[in-house]
Amino acid sequence: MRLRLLGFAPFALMFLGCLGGDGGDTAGTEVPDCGSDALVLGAEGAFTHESIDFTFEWGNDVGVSVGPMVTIAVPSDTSSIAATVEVRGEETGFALVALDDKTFIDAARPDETDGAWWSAPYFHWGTLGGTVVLPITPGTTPDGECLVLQPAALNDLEGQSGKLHLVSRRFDPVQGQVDLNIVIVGDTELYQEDLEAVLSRMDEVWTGDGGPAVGQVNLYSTEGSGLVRYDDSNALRATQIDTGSGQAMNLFIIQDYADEPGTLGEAAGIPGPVGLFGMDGAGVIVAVDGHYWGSELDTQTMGETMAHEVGHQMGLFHTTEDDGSRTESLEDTPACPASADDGDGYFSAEECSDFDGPNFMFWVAGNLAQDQVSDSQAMVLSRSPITQ
Amino acid sequence: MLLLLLACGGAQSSDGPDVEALATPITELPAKPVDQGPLTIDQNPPPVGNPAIRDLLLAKDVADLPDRAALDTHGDAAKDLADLATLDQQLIVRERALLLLALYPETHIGVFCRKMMEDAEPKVRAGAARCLAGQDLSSTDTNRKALEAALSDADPRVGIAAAEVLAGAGLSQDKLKKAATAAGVHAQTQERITELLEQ
Repeated sequence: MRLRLLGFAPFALMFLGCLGGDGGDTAGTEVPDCGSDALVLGAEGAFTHESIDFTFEWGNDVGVSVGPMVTIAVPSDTSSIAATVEVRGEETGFALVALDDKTFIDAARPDETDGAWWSAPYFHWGTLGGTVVLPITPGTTPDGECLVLQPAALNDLEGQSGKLHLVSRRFDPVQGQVDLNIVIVGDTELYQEDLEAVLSRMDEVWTGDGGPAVGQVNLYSTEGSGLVRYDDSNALRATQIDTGSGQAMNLFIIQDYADEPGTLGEAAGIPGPVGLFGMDGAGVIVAVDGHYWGSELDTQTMGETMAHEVGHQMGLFHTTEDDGSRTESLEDTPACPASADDGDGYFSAEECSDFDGPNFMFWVAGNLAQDQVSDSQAMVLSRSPITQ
Repeated sequence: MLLLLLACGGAQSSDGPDVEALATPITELPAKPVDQGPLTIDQNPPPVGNPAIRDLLLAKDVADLPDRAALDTHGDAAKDLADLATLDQQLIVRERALLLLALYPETHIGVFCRKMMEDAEPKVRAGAARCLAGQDLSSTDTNRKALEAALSDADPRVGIAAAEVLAGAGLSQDKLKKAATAAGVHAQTQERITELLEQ
């Protein structure tokens, strides 16, 4: 997942650096106030999905297509918000995300300054179904009054329409539970007993240190083959789930990728769309065949894969990356120090076993249990709009 | 700007222009056949090869697999990868070991991977086919012929892997064209071959 997001980053860092911030305007974009015409978010005590249609124009200052500034009045009982920009088949995101006097994302800011694309706290980039969630860190909780969002798209979509989805939760955050819409894709072979064992392990990983539990599981099936072409991942995630619950995580279980070898599973983004279905990026894909030991399905590892990939979809990064770097803004996940490396430049779970090797969002599995969840990680999961 | 307010207890879907499929509710999955278990998986099997190499093959994201420089800090990495590809109990480790052997162009690696294309596991056969991408396929016929034969593998993961390696080397255009429409070639393999020929 990390490299697929980073794949565009070096190019675009050069690109945005040439155009963004007017070559020295560290203040970035001027954020409007919420006036009387601001949208009032959600409904009291409810999980809510709202959407806004808009038209793109080319943003010369930021080098991406942009929609209008959308001002949103945030009621005081709002515990979480997820915003997604939908243009089918296009990589989207946000040129601006600001809450009162805090600007979390601003594409006009110079590279490697807080709030710039691919910088803390969101490390935001354009993806299919580009999404932001509040909170993604303790400092990005939606405890403000005026949220401003400006949708964006990487390509020139001047004159084309897009849709801004707002998914919100307006009730007190609890440890909670996350319901799952599990779609068994085509002729994928998976037995009930094994699925239950997988989900039990996923639940164990999350709840052990205070994260939400796995809640109600809604099962679905689709026609066709369980061997999925990687290029068809987006179409798979856009599957319409018949009477599916929106306040749930969509999980697509495939037999394997037909042409993406060595892949255990993949989230759509960090975060990806949550509380939505039938659109780009709306779910996590997990491959069964990558989890076999001999002829037996390793349900423990598959459960840990699910916990990890759904963690990405809900906004969690790796605690440490393969090269020891950190693309994560949570302060309570231990950092694996450079001294832990055995000299090959890769930080294994064993090398980091005294630090974040046992964390469920560590970049690599190992011969140790990876079921530690930090308080901040548990907060991000428990405060998600889809957590009940 | 059109505002659509859909506040309710559940989500409304967005109707994209090309919604592909409909997932329909089911009650539960099939029961596991009686003769299949439960079996105990030994989470601490006897070590195969260098544990440090094996650890690197457990990346949760395939994009984080190590490069050759990292592998070679651990001695005879190619031998360890070959051992893992042959003997490890985890299917993903076997497959990834073969993928990484493509980083080693030595002839004996090609011999090894060609042999692994006869494995019973499709993921292993596919990995072995991709391993041959590291070989000079134009210099000998043996590897090329093994890949051409794999185009008609019953599992499309193998056929697609073989097609991508051949096409990537600019070889076997006639064989690829025939396979694109031949009986006995999996439809997904044919679809990919057609894409490769059009590139």
